[in-house]
Amino acid sequence: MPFLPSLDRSLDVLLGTRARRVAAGVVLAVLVVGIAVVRGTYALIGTPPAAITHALLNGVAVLAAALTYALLDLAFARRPAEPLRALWTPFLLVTGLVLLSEGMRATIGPGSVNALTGMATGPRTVALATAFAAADALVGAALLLSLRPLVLARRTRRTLALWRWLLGAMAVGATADLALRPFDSPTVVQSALVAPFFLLAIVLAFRLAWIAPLTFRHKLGTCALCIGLIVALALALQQRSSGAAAALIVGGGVFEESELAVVTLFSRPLYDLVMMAFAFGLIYAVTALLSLLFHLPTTEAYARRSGEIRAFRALAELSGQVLDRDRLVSTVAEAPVAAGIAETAWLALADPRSGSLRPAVVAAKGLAPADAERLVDVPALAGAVASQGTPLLLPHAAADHRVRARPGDGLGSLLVLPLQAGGHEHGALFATRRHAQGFEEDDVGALATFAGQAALALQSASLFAQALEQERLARELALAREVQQRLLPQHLPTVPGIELAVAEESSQEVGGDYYDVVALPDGRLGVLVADVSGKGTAAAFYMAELKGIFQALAALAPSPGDFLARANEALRPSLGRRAFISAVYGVLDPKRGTFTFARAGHCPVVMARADGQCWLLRADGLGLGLASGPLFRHALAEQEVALAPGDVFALYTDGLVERRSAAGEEFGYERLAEVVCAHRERPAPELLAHLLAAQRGFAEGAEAAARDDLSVVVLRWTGPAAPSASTDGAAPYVIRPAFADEPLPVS
Amino acid sequence: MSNFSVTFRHRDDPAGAGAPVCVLDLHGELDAHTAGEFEAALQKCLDEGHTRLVVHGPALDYVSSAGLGVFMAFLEPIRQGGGDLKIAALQPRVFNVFDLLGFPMLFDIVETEDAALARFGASEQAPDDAPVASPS
Repeated sequence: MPFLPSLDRSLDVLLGTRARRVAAGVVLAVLVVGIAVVRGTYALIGTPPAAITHALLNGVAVLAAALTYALLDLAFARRPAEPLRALWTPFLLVTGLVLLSEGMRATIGPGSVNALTGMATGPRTVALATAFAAADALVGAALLLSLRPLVLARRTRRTLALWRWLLGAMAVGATADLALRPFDSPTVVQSALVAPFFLLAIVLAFRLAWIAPLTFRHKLGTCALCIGLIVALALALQQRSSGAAAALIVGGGVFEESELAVVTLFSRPLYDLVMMAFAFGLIYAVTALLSLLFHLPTTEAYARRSGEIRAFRALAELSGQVLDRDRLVSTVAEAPVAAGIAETAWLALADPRSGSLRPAVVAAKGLAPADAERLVDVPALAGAVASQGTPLLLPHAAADHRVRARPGDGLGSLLVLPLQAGGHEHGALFATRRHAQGFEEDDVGALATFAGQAALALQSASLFAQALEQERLARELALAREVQQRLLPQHLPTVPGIELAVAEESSQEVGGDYYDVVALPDGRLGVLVADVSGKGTAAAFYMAELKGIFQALAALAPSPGDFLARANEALRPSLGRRAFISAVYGVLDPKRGTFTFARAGHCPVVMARADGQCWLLRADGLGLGLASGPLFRHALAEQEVALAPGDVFALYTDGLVERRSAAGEEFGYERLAEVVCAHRERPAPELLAHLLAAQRGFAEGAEAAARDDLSVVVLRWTGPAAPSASTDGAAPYVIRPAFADEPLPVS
Repeated sequence: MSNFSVTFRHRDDPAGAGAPVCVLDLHGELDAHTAGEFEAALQKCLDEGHTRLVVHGPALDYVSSAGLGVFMAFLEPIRQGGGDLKIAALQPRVFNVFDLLGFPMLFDIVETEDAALARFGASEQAPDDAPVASPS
């Protein structure tokens, strides 16, 4: 039916602007007044108009009615279907019209109409008829426009098309009467032309999709309005068919053949249009009333069903909230209540990140989380459903030992749904109803599906959070790594008689390894190797602090033990309770021919002598930061080696000895000493390369993830023998307390 | 991946004096990844009101600096509570790690669990006097 939409469009163009609409209103008024003037003129003259004039006037009246409809439609822009308002407006209008008609009825007395011609007998009657016609047309159009949003509630193309067909059928039915005079009986063909209207009206009367979602109270209100509208419309129809002009003077007698509605004096087709509009309203109101009555008992069931639909809609929302875990958990907790399935609901989760494996209420709807914990034994119930993996329905909640609710708490039935999100995070969704046996099988099914989806969303959220955290950590580690790299010496000092080689390997993580070599006054060389406990940014910062201390104090400290004791003093306040630093600090003095070191809890120093003897030197000492100054100093010893040409020292971090073979065996101190000894005659860089190669070969095939950082400093003395160096195989070193004259601290 | 675990036992010291001693059996490798678990176990002991603790370590295969940090973190609060944290029956290799850092100067490290319990029974002793299970 292409012509109706194009009619729509042409109407839109015609009435597109406010000015055009005003103009159309003026035209409408002119048309109505014009008809009235012509009819009035004929009434004055007393001769009926020619058939063609009559039909023309009627045609103009039908056009005016159509224009009224179009203008009203635009004036009251299409509002959403709100059933109560949609019925309230026509009810008031029709009732008003009925009362008005009733009041004006008396004014049209006998003699107002000429029964022979069916014409008004004077201008007064014409004016009254015009007023009636205008009121009827307005109310008829308003009635149709009010009902339209209801009919089109589920706005399908088909219903829209039917509605247009209905309007078309009304036009056809009305124009069939174009040439009829007020009291002429329609022919069979003319009557048949009205049939399509009734057919369409009945079909459209079953477009009642708006009824089902109404609440019980709304349904009751709508019922009352429907009844009111039916009564008003029936009265209006009755008034118009049995007529205001029940007694007409015909000549000298009374017109009795048929009764005449006043509007027909203005235009019979207009009267037909209004009657059809009222008839449609009546039919629609009747079907609506019947449907409402039919739906009343199923209201609750419908509410539940639509609740389930909403619950499933909430599922779609869940996936959108994966980025915001807090919102996600509240959405999950709210869904059963929002869906109308439960009166209260809460979500309990065990979150290993918070260190608790006990499920705790993280979100609740309809009650406070603390109340939820009070009403039931949340961990026990969550644990029960987690282990069985299926929903737990307690139709009589109070009978279960895990429910602590008292009768006044409004906990009649309880449904617990497991949320298995994979991994460690698990929990349960709780839903309650006030009455015992409040959950039906459908509810359990719907919520179980929802819980499954919710679990997936929670899992995604937690994975996302983890990924975010990992990224943050990775950035932090990269930064820490950079700091660490910059802290290591960029250039090694050169001292005659000393070969120096250093190596460091970083594992995946940022470790706390640190080494430094510094040229001291009097040609001495200071070597520090340290290992900060723990890893990551904190370790990197402690390293930075240690470097500052080293650079500042190394040149000032008279002995390695003194340096370490000062470093301990400086570091102890800033090191956390669980953080400490193991360090070994050695000073090689070429003038005296000695290598003196102190060990603050660090790995022993490997020493190899040209003759093939090997030692692990481990003078006593506590790690930096472990003990207060007096205890630290008391424990600290210094070891002094009288150098011989070819003496090799290896200072390193535990990563070197702790690296494991594929079989899980540690490289170990013995193996380290053996390798150093075996290559003792090579230059320091070469020796170091062999050491690392040996260690790497040992660890080949082992899990790379198990690797720690490692740092090695190799010193090789090529200078002369110390005057005090023993050559007879006796131990080449002496060990002495770093702070011999200090008393033992009183603890 | 983590093969570390902690289990609890409660024993009375042989003298029968004072509260029961909380014995923590450590298994596997105590490193940066598992330190949290050990920490939680110690904290649980403290939360339960125990201040007399023995870490029993024959099944402890490895300890890293992060693991040692946990011992350090708890030593002071435990001693302030009038108790002590003693370490018993470490494998030689593991003891060596404790020893290198100087832990025997700070902790009572003994060869057997019973010895540790006996020390709770005896009057408080300075850790310095503790005979050390020296494997080297």
